[in-house]
Amino acid sequence: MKSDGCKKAHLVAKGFSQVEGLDFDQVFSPVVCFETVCLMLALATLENWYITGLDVRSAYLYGKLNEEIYMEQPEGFAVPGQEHKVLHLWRALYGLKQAGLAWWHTLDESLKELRFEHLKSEAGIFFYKKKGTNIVIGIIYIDDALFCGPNKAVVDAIKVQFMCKWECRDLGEPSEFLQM
Amino acid sequence: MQKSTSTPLPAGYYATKNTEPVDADLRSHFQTVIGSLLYLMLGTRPDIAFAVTHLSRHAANPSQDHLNKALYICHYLIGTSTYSLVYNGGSGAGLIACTDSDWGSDPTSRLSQTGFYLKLADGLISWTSCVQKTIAYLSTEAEYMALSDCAHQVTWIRSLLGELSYKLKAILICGDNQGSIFMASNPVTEPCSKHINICYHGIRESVVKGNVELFFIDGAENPADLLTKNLPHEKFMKFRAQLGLHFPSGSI
Repeated sequence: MKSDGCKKAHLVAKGFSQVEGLDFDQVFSPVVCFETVCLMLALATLENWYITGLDVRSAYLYGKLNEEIYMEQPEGFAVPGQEHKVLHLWRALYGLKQAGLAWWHTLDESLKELRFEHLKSEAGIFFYKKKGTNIVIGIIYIDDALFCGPNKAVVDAIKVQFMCKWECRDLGEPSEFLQM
Repeated sequence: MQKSTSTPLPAGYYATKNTEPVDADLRSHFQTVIGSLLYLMLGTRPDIAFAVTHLSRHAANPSQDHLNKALYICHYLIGTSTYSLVYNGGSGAGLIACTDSDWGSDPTSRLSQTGFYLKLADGLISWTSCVQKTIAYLSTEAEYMALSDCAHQVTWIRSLLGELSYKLKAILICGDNQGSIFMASNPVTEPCSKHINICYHGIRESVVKGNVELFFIDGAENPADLLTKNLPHEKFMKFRAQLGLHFPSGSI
């Protein structure tokens, strides 16, 4: 239920019925810690960097699954005549235990194509460094992202490339991040 | 409008363990309030860090008094809801850390309290307020453990910034205890300190490698005090102003 009264529904998987070792292996998901967000924002003000934000629409649904997972057809949406069949999941759904991790791996791969590397000491920070151009730092908390760097044009160019890959909502210059 | 309070918890307040049987309704109410406060604390409110972590230790079996005190924190927040952490890009202030401890502050377990924070661009970027895991026989030892915990955090920040190709000089850690600074700077083994667990000696390596530099400040001037106990109003206000928490207008 949203504040304007319209109702939203969302297909979720029954993560609680998953069996460890069979349906999932690892369930952690690397997210950036609050401290790092504060650190990067402080750094950005000291260095007078440009900051821009976006959020990826239904991010979890992009996560590629490594495991073979089947799901019952959702009630009321079963394909007529084929009610006895089950669905084979290719991508993650909200509710799956590994959805967060699967999304992070997918994101990591796609950012690698944009020449970003995640930091070893903080997997939610992505660093873009190319000779002859300015650096760009991506701070990513699951589907909320901030990109910052000294050069507005470079940051914006990266953001455009990122938004070509994923369907995003452009938040422009952010006034809040994670409701803070 | 409800009245607001000037500090998160009354000065000197100490939450004692509830010996009554668990009241399930009270507990779930308490946990909801504490859960929300924890999120605020982790995000942008170092000023309530001690108060929240202190009360959250009673989440398994809270008393009515604990709940009232959790609501006391909420009243404090009502009066300060517009406060935010402000990073001042013009300040040119580099990374600096402050530590403090409160020796034997827990009246039953006699464990000490650690509090430390890291500050960059005149605003806090990381803060911790927690109970130490082992008993400290001396206040020097409690301070030493706090220094060591702080050094861990500093090491992590160093490696993170290192990956972003920043080359940092030694990071200043301030403490208000000469003994612990001496112990961290010199590999001495004295009768009173030889029992300290080896894991806390990591700070010595950081000092030798030049990753951190220790600096003594007067205990009455140590803002990290705010993370180790419930301070009286004047002191609390004085230290809070040094955390980088400001009104949106920029005035303190």
